[in-house]
Amino acid sequence: MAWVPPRRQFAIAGIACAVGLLWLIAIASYQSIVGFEERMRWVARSHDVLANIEQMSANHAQARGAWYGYMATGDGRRLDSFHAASERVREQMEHVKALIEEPGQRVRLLTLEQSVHADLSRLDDLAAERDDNHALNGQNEAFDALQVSAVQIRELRSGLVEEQHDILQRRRQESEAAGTFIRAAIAFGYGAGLLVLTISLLYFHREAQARIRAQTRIMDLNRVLNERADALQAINKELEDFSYSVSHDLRAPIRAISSFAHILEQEYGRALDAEGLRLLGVVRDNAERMGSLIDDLLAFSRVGRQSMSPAAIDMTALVEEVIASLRVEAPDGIRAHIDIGELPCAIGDHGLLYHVWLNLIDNALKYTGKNERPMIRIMGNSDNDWAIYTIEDNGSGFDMQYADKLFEVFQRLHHARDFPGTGVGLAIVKRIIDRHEGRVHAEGKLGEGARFMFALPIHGGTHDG
Amino acid sequence: MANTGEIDILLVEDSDTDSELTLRAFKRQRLDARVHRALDGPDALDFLHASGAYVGRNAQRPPRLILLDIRMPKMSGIEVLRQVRADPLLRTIPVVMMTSSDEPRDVEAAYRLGANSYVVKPLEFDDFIRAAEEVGVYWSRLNEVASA
Repeated sequence: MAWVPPRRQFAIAGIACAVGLLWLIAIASYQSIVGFEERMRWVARSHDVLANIEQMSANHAQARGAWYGYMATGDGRRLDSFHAASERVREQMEHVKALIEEPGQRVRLLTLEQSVHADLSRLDDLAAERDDNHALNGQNEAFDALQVSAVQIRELRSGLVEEQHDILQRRRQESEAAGTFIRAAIAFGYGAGLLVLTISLLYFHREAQARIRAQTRIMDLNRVLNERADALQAINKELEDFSYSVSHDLRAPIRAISSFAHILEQEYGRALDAEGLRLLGVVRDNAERMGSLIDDLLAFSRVGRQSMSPAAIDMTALVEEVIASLRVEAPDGIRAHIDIGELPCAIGDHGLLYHVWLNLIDNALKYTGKNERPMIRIMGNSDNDWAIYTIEDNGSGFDMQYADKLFEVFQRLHHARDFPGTGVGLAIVKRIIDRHEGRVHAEGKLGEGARFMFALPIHGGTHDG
Repeated sequence: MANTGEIDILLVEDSDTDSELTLRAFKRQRLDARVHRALDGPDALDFLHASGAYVGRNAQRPPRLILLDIRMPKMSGIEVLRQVRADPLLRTIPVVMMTSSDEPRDVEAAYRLGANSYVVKPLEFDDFIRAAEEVGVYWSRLNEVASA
């Protein structure tokens, strides 16, 4: 099907229009039915008028018949019958008057009423004369007038009836037209309603299908994402196993080389000459160096994998803690003068930030080691978003040309014979700061000193991976 | 090293080199403890239960100390520790993990399962000797063992 689902707002507007249309049709149908009923009442009234005129005519004829009988016989019962019929004619006349509203018909009816009343009065008068004289003597003129009156009344009546028939006809036609309109309106209303219903159902069906398709797609994407996450987890697990194996299996032979070289030196040293002892020393130094490399590399890998538990950290206390531990480890104590300024609090992982300061301060101590008056200054400040920490020294510094290599793993700007080290410390610093969504920066001048800065987001990094 | 009878220290270590280094360290510190070396986890458990190759050994007095390596073939030291701690007759023996690495997951597992101490074998022989001496002296001489 090439039916394209309309945009949602168009669909809703269309449905609103259709519902409005249905309401209009319903109101129109209701009013038509009310009008139809009204017209049917008028039709019924026309029938009523015609029937009453018919009866009135019959009673009038009866009255006349009774009158003639009385006039001929003088029978009192016939006179009574005449009066009764006359009374019915008058009553029916009143009734018909109440039923007729059309001005033309009313005029005709009033004329008819006058004629009928005049006719009945005349008959009444003539009957009274019959009472007095006991017979109709020479009343031919009066009989003639009665004939004229009867003809006149018949004409008036048939005019009235004809006109009433016309009215009836017109009312019937109007009723039929109203009926046709009602049928059309109801048919159209049902049709429109069905159409709207069909379109709505079609639209919502499409809409639901589109939603199902979208959901299926999201589920597919989620599955792919989960698969990738699983694959990543597997790789991570492999890496973890690898580093676990490295930490156990590589350290053991190095420990053996170092230790047995030591035992050889101590127990068989006298059998070796100076060169032999020097060579043994080279073996031991290199084993030791290998050991440090492995340890640092493992520490670097661990820093990336370790889970973080961020908390508010008193950086001044942390720095003092690090310096205290360095003092314990330094066999000859710390020569450098360390000046600690005011440090803002930070949000971060205590253990990881401990390693940041440990590496930075250890570095500063190492590279100021050859200075007569080693100085290290630790400072801090903060703005709205960042807590910024600086550590600067007056040590051997570095060439800014190579500054970007400083934070890469195993990259060193000094020879091991000048300053021992593996080139992992600053890489660890950068990795930890990255995990806190912070920034690191280094400045230096060869022979004059170095300054390292790092900034941590005040509201804490969210990255944990 | 006796295959039967009472001992002071059970050394569970698969590496001959490490085993020799430990024994040398004990010797250098004049620690005349009776040491039995088990080659791996099942061997150590057999020794402790006087089963397998050790049927007939008098297992009435357990060792005063178990020195337990972690990374060994067949069964890891963590698993050996779990079984020792699960055995009512053995669970009070002090166990010191002596291993190459301080992998956090090992340290955590060891302490969770009730290791008494966790020592990383130092790379430097001098440090190693010091560590072996401290561990050996403290756990086999000074520490009072609960009667099983």
